[in-house]
Amino acid sequence: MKWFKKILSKIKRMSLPLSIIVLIILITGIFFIYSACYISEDLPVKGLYKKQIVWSVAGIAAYMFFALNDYRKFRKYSWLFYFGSIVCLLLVLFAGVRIGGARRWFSVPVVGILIQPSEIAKMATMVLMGSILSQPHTYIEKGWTFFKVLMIAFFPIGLIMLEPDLSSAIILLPVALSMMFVSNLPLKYIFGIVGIGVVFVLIVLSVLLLPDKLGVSEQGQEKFLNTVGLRLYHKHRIMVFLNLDEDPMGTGWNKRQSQIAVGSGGTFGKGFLNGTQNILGYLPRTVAPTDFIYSVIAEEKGFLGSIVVLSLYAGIFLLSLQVAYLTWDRFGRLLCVGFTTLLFCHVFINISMTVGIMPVTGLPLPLLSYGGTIMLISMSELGIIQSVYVHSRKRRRSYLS
Amino acid sequence: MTDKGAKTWIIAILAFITCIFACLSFRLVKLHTGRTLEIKGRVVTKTVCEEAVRGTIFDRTGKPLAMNVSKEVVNINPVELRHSTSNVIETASAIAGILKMPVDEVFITINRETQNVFYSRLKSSCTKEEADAIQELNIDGIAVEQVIEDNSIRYIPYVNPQKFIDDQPVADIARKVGPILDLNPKTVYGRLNNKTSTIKFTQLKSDCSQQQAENLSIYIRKHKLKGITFSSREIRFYPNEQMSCHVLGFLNSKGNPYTGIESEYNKYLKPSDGYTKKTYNALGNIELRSRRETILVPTNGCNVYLTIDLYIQYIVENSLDELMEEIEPKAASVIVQDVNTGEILAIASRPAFNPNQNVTFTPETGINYAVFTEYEPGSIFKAITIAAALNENIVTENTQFDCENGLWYKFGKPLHDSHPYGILTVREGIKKSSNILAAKVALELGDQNFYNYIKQFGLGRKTNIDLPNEQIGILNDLSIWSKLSPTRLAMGHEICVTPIQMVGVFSAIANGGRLMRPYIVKEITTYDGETQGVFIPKIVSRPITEKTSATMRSILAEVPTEEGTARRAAVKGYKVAGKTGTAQKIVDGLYSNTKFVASFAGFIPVDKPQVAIIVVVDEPPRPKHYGGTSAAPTFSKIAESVAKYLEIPSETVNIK
Repeated sequence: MKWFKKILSKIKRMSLPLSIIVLIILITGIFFIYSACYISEDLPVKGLYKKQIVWSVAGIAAYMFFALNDYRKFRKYSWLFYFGSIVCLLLVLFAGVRIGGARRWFSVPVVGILIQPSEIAKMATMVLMGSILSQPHTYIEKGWTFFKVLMIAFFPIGLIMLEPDLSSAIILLPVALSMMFVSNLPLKYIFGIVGIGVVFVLIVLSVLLLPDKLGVSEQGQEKFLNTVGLRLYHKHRIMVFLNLDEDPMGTGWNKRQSQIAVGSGGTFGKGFLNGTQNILGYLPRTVAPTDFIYSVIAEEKGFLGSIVVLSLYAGIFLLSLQVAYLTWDRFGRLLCVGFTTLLFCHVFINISMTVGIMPVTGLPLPLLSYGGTIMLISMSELGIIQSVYVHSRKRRRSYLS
Repeated sequence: MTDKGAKTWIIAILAFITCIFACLSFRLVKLHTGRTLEIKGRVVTKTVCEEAVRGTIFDRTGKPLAMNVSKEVVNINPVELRHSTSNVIETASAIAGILKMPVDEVFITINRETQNVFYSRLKSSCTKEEADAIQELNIDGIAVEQVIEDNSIRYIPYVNPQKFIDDQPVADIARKVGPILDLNPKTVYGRLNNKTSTIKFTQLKSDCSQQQAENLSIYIRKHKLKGITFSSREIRFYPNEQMSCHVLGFLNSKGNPYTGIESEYNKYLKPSDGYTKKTYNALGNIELRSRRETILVPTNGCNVYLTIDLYIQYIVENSLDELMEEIEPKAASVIVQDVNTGEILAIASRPAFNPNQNVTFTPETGINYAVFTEYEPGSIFKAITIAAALNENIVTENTQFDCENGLWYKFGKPLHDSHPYGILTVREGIKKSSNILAAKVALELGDQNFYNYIKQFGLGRKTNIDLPNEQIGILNDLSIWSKLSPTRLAMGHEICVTPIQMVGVFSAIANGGRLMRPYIVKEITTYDGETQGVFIPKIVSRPITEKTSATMRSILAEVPTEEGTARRAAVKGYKVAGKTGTAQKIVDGLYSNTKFVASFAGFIPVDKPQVAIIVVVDEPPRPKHYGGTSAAPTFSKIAESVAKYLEIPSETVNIK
């Protein structure tokens, strides 16, 4: 009875608005995955929303599990978790399922689901970084610590790029950066590494966009891009994004059609299940329930729907950052900041690509897009944020003083 | 202290997120309120016609007489085809070989110039100011043409839709051009996007067989040719070619029915096409099935079963062909009727056309002589005169008449017999075909009686057979008969009949006195074979009694004998009955000595008649101008074959 009371009191301490928003997004996701797929004549695709229900329930379970357990219990496993996920990343390069030229997934034979180890690895990386960066300040300020953090981030990024899954790897960079800032690492280190990064990106972009002026041959350009982890399709996508290469029937197709979908929604949308862009297959059916779920919503519910969804996410980030602000535990705070940044990057990049202000990437919209691993991981992360709120929130009094 | 730094950073992150979201929202506002994207996001709805199939026409045994076959149409886009081949001559000759066409025809088609640049009018005219404004815009693909008319210059703005491919600039241009020309930008947008007529295809061959089309497509794949497309179309096909053409009629090149059953029963045969509204994406390649809307369900036409028996028809057509070749008359016609039901088993006329080749249909060949022509029947009509008199018990078969040795003046006018006879019985008078005897019998009968019988036998009105263009014939009203009229009518003058009327008369004489309505459509079923309606025999009138019929049968049976006028009509192994008829045609109001209509009508077998046959020959040249010499042999041939086909038991008769 005692443990029951304890759990009850913890549930009472949880942030109710956060839980409600998460729930709303989950339900919205299920509805619009149904809308994106109900027209399909392919039965497994048609039943995708049912699978998403299962994933959502599993996600809620994970959410509750992490929310009700003290996150600090897991701190001592952070190295183990990290190395385990690195091993997974190595394994997936050889034993993963190859889909569309990339090995990003493990196939679980009996249940018939795909697991994406890169998502797990990113979470593990954040946990380990949080664990290291929440050490005492004297430790933090050492150059060695900074190097260690860089190395910790480097391995998963490198391995994920090898899969290849460029966008999924790159997204760790802003996450790591935000955690470094909040952990009060010396700014000279941070800006130093940011400077190097900016120079690198500039070089890559100039080779990509202005090979003639640099005197780089076609083969040389390709070779260079390959070395830095860019593939031909990345180049196409970037060109398309920058309107240098319209190619509306090829690479530019998704971008264009997604924009049309969003734009054709108008103010109030075409109505649920009536999104013609989506059901007619302008938006390829394969990506409509995953990466382009937002354009389905925008088309069917119009500006109103898309702004509501945007607001819901904004609510999540606001509440999560509030948790980070209110906690006295530095580990908890770093986790909150890291997870929030990760979720934010996903949301931002995904929606941006949907509305045509970023190149097309394969990043899903957490909680809304169809996908098992991303659902479990996102919900776990949100669970941990709740856990921070439950277990190491500053008393209201101290907050006021 | 550090805690505070962390909090600052958190607020910084929050600020950053807020900024980004503000940008996103801004972008969303712009996207959602943009008009062009809304236009592009629309779906395309097309109403598609689903063609139904015309009903088949069958004979009574279920053999098709008119059916649908699908033919392949080959269309080529000359420009595309020329670009895809290196050697035009070789390609042309190969295609010609496959499609069995003249090489030069293919070559000319391939080399035909089709307009690549296609301009369409934006507005019928505009003012000079408008024209200048448009030219100032300097848009590639929009031009203004100056037309000088009536001392003034008219400006016509044109667009070339091919120049406008992407939507974004098109919408902008539409918005710019629209106000200048005082047009709705949406209209301009539509014109700019109208790319329907940009690809020009021309028909190469419209009636290829499946095999030819397949061979051609193999050749195309092998040589990687472009610009050749196939489509199939249903065409009406008459497997028996010329046979029963007048009965069937045909479909002209536009698919409209022409004469015959095709026209008369068009409302049953005609399919009703279905219409379906289909929704596509903008590319037009993906259809949204759930949005498919059936406006009209396609219904195939009904099948029509004729009373025609293809085999009997074949016999008749063959005999007619022989007749035409042997005697070379102007026209000829044969009808075979089931005496008991009135069903038409075969009906054919010459000259004829081939319904598969519309060009063979001319005013001459298109006439269905059997129902259209009106002719003076001549002696054949004596059968009616005698039957009427017998039925009234005015005479018996043995009543004797003086035939005045071949010349009889009555009411001041002479009447001739072809051979002089003395005293003849009625029976003998028919056998010898005596005009004087018939005239005397008619006078005994009385005008009113005679007229009634003629009416009762169905003359002077339509038989209402289900074939187009049936004629009434001519029967003068009793009130305008002269004193001489009955004597002339008795031998088949002063009256015009059609072959279909005459065959009905003989059926009635043969079957015990019932005049049956002749009919040619037996049954109408749905395309899938479900019976819709069956036509049943109908008695029109009962002109004579059973007894009179029996007497007439025995009298008429003596005509095709050695003593009779039509020994050539005799059929080996069967007893047949019939009557010859030879009438002079009236040319310029006078009886012609060179133009005749010879006919023979009869039935088989005599005792229990089954079929009545009439053979009418129009203008047989001398010396074969008599019914006994021109029509009778054909009757004999047909009767024999039909009797064998119908398995009528043969009887041993003495043919002297």
